[in-house]
Amino acid sequence: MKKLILLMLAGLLVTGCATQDVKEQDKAAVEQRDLLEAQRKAEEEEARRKSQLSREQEEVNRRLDEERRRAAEEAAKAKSDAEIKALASPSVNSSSLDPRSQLKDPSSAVFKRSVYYDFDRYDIREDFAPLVEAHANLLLQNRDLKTRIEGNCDERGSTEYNLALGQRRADSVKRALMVLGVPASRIEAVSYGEEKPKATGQDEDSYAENRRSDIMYPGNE
Amino acid sequence: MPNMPKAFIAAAGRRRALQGLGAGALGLALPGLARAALTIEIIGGNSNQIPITVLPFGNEERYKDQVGQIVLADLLRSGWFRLQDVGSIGKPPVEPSDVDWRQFGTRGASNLVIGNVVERSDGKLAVRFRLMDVAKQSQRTGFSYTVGVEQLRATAHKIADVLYEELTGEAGVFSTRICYVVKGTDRFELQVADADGANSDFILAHREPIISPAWSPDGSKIAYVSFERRKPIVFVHSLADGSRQVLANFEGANSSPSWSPDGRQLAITLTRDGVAQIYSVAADGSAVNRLTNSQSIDTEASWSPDGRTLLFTSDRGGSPQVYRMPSSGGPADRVTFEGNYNVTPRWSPDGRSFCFIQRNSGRYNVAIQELGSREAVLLTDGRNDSSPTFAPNGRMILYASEHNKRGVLAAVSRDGRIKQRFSDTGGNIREPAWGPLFKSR
Repeated sequence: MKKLILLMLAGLLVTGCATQDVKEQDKAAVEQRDLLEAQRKAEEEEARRKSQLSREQEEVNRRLDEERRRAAEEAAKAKSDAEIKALASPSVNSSSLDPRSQLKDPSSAVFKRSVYYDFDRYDIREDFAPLVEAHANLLLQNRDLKTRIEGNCDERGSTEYNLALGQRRADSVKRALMVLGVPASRIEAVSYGEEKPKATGQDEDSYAENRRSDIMYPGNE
Repeated sequence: MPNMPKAFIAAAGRRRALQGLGAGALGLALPGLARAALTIEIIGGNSNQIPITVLPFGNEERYKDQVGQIVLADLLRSGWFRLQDVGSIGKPPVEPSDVDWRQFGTRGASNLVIGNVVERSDGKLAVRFRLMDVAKQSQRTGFSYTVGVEQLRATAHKIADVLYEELTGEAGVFSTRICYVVKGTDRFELQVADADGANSDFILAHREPIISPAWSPDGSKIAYVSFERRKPIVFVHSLADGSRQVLANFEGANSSPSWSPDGRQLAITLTRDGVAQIYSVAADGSAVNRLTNSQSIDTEASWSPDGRTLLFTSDRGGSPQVYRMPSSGGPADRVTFEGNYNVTPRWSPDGRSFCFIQRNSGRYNVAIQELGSREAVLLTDGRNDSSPTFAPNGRMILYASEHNKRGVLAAVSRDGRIKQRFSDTGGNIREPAWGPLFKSR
């Protein structure tokens, strides 16, 4: 915008110099003043918007930092708890905090990876909030760990609408993880729509099984 | 050609057109194995069928593709014709002067097709046919084509197109092609076949899903969505040489390609800015432009034949419904009102109506609705019908259905009277798209 105004200005100045008509020159000068005024206002507006944005960003960052700090504290506490536990009972493997073994451990909170949905819905049901939180904690405790959320739908209806719905489902999990402090850069959300059904039956149980987001850890499971 | 009847001379322009078609068909020498042919079963017919008698063409038995048989099969499969059998007649006539008018008249023939295949000195074949009006004892139409032996099948479809148009008043679609996805175990194939299911071959095969194929208006390219890179990306695939390019690969899902009638741009669905929204993109992948601005799913754009308007699916009102908006974007108005699930709108070639998928008591079926009307007419009764696609003459709608728990293709006429089912020997067939009419130059 600024460039455009300067360009117009340059154009006007050239026109102004080229013409011998004083009136025209006056008019050009007035126009030039108006333009300079508009430019100044635009710059002020831009600066105001920027400072507003940066204030908002600061607030977001502050909240995220707070969340991260709390999560780190919790993680540290969980870690020390686990270490105490490990000391108390030698049967517990001290490597249980390794994400790979946690993901493979049937007694671990992150063993389950699937969030299920009602028909044509993409909001995370209350009963799956603890599962999402457990995965958020796993990601917060393992800064190198990346996750891939795969959204799925049952086979009924439109292929393309289901693809869009699957993306909404995957995105809803991604957003929940972000709210819990996991950076967006470590979460990929993709949709498979109705293309990869886990259950192949044509009954409500199969359909329910296929209305699902899977929290995956490529290369770590 | 001193003895050539008038109609044959008039056909010179068409002969050139047919040679053009031959070149196109040769250009379609696709890689891969030949596939099991689909066969079409008619499961309902028009109550008012046109009687037709097609006699074996002279010398047709010398070739693998027997012209008279293919022509007759095409016409009968369309559902608009009934075979008027004339019983045993000895050697079939191939020239008007050979026709025993009284014999055919007493045996009930009214529309009689005769023809022959003559090998020329240069090895090419001259295929001639005539449609005779038995009551008037005269010729209604007739053409001659000079083709190679490998073009006999395509020539037969072309003859069926001429007969169909002469007798029904609408363009025939026997020379068109269709494409669809075959889902096997751990393998998806995008296949292209003749409209009768013959000559099927795959243009893409992958472990990951392929969906939403869409023909370019000139029939030379197919846009589709492939998950081969573990996310949905839109590709444009050139049929002549098998080359392809990425049309859209943005963050999130890239899907639902739909060509504008002039072939210069496509409408696509992207989630790069959040929820699925509709964008336009130039055919070379440049100039991406957002067309919808909602907080809801907007997808499945379909262009009006004049290119001015798009129909699309949106759940902005709480349930997925069909909406309409200018093709450059702008305010949208809702066009479906019955029930709470109306999706996949497809504009009819004449622009007067659209077909779509409607849910009724847990079943998903093809419905049709006139633009400007609020009433949908249900055309099918399957459990889970999807992906409707108009034949380029607008008479039939091809769609994906289920039979014996497998995905099959089926077709229904726009008035719901004619129903056809395509079958294949293996795999689940889905996501059909009917190609355009072959434009003669």
